[in-house]
Amino acid sequence: MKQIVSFILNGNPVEAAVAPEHTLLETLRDGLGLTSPKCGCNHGDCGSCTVILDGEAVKSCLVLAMTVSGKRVETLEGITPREGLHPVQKAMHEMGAPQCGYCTPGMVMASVAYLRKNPAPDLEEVKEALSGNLCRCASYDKYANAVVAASRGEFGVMPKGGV
Amino acid sequence: MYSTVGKRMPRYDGVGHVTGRTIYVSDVRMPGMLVAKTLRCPYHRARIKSIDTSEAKRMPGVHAVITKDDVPHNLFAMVPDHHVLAEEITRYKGQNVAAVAAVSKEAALDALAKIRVDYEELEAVIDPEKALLPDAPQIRPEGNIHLFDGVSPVRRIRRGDVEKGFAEADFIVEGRYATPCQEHAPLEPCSTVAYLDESGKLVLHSKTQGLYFTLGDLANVFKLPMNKLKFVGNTIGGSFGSGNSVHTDHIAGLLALATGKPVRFALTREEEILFTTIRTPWVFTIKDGVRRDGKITARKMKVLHDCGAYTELGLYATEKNANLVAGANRIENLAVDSQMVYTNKMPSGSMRGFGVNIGQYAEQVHLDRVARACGVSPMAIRFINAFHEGDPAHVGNVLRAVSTIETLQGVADAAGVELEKMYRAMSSKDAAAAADRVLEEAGMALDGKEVPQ
Amino acid sequence: MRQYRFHAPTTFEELFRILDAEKGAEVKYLAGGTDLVPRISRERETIPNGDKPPVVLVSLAGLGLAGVEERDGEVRIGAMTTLSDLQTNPIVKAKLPALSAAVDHMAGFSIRNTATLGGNIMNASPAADSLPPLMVLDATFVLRGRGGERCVMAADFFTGPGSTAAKPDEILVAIAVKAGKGAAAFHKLGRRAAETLSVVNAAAYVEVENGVFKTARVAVGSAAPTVRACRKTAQALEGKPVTAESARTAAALVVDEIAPITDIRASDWYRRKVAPVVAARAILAAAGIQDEGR
Repeated sequence: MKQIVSFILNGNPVEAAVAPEHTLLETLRDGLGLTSPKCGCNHGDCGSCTVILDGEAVKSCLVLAMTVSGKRVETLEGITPREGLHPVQKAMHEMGAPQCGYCTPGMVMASVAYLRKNPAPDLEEVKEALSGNLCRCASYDKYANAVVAASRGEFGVMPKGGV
Repeated sequence: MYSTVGKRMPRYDGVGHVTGRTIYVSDVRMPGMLVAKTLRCPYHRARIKSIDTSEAKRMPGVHAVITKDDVPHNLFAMVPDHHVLAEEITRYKGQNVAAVAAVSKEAALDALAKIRVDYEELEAVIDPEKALLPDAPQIRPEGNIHLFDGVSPVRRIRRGDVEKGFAEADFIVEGRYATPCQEHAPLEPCSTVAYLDESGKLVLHSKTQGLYFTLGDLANVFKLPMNKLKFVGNTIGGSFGSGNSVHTDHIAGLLALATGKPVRFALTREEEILFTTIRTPWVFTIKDGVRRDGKITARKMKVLHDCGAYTELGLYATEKNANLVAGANRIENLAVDSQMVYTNKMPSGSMRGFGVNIGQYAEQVHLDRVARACGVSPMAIRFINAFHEGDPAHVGNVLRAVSTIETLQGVADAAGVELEKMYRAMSSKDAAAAADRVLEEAGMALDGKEVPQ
Repeated sequence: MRQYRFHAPTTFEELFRILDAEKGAEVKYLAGGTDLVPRISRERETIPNGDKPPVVLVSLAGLGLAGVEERDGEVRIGAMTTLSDLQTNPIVKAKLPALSAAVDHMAGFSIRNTATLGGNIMNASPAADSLPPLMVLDATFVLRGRGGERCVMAADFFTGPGSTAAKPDEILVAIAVKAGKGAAAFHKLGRRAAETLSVVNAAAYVEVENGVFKTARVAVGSAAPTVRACRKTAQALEGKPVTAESARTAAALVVDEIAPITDIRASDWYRRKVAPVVAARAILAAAGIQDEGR
């Protein structure tokens, strides 16, 4: 039996009809029509479904939708400014990180969440933070370098906090 | 002078990627869309004695249940010997037997549970070398060994006289190299959305890598003229060759035709890994004769490509492999025997190099062993035997724009390997090398007929 | 398709009422969900095979089981504390560095934000990275049932892969660890550096007096149906001088105390070869000896 779950999605209150077994990923994609969280494995292995839940990066295929009641969920739709790009997005784009692009939303979300906690990481710390995000095109170096460059302010001022 | 060549350019679709606005095939949704799921054979090899779909068709939320009898033309793929839905004999675990379109994933899976299939499990063969044995179960009507051009079980390449070459060698180096199955693992699993548009065209949002190839292939399956088929190639989340084979387009299309409704057929990661095409296993046996100075005097190679249960792209990979497997080496006395064998595993697809790089794995590892045998460095053995401009390739065509030596020099630089002066001074276009070659070839009395210029 | 129901009790009374009302169903306690949720998702992609009882998901998030506190020299970790919180918790870092090190090597950043220590314990995987340190630290698991709380030693808790001494209506509420006089360390061998399951892992706790191992405890994981306390190894260490040689000699005995299998990560042969090495490294790290063999 589905129940209505209310939560804050990218700053806006939403309600979704959710079955007990539904994941947050399913609810975002099939219930609410978002396409930025991607499903690569539905198993918590690939990281392409990464979203920010109450300020923490999580793999949305590992979270039951019922458990987000009353919480704040951020997806790439919420990170992207109305005009232009977030510094992490800008860095990844200009440094040529995405190839097929399927892992990119997860990469951006994991990076943004990590930079809020550790605004000045070194390359090794960034690699560790992105270790749960697989890129089959193997653009790992470019993603990690882009995050370090963004953290140094090379692609604009990092916005404070989440939505 | 150029606006883009030699400059770092942002990707044209990069903003879409970093904002998540790029729409992949797996993001496509249509109003009233049905979900497709397939029943897969649980055995490596079996005979289907009967299929009963009557109860499944009566399940709530089910719009269509199809089997082989519902497919207008039940053969597809580049070499069209693969069944869309299984005929009497199934040849690999996970082969599609029946398909359901229903209002939800749950309804589709519940319906699949009600399809009754009476299987007789048959003896299977998984190991390609065992499949060659005379007492192996015969898994294809024409036999397990592929017949090239319908007649020859072996594809042969011959240059010079290998026995004479071995006689001239100071060392004989033999090796056997086997490679396992390899999955492409694109991050986006394969899916298709199919529907009939307002003009009655069958539209497929496809993850294919070869849009027009797939269109032609599936026009046969649907028995539709091509002007009644429209393929939409969305951005895809990686493919690595997996998209050269059809995994979901055929079944999604058939179910859209059967129901008149939009149908989405998406594979799970498990299905993608376990049941779709792969780089199938290869076995290489190499015997080289080599002189003390590092010159390879003769090479005998046996290649066995395990094609899986259906030909798919396996034949193409076998032929490309055979032509190139002897590597970027000038080998005057060469014999390559290449075979392709069918086994009860998922069929061979294309994967990053179509049989070429997998052959180079074996050849390059072997070359290191040859270098050790005659006591020259791994770099030297490659320079000593390198192709030069104008050399005949292993199948006789004259090579142009050869860059073996320049590539080796670049590799040495990148790896920080100090090169001996003579190798540093070499060039693929070296006149001295060419002259040396002429003398050498004359001295070795190459059979000129084997080298058409 | 199987039926699923979801409950999020906020008191234990409510939880036990739910258990009473849901008799006949298959109860699954939901902690972080990083193991349970993909199992549910996988079942939902599988053709159903016969009728199965409904699954009742009981979220433990509303019971106030998260947080770390220290009282009378005992560190008490709430079962619902996430691995990320454990990593940054100053008490855990200062008092239980071996556990902190193990958590650093568990999964990756985003999974650690969701996964909990209690979940890692109750999942009872033989490869769970938190278990070897908890065993050598002589941790106590606090279970709450209808009759109140009871404690079980970590070394006595695991009965097989996925099974524990906890009864179906008992909830793991906390993990209690008395920081001993000695030092502990954890070592993991995975298939890659990060976001990987252990091929073999090990933890050691040693107390050293006058250059001699006075007390030792060693545990090896992912090499038997449960994480194993290696008592022979520990005994062989006690009374020996604190040298790399005595660590390696004692660690060689772990092969008699493990029963590895071949699985997707490694063969039993390989595990037998590396288990003594991994155990020796944990002992050496706990004893503060530079391992010149590495």
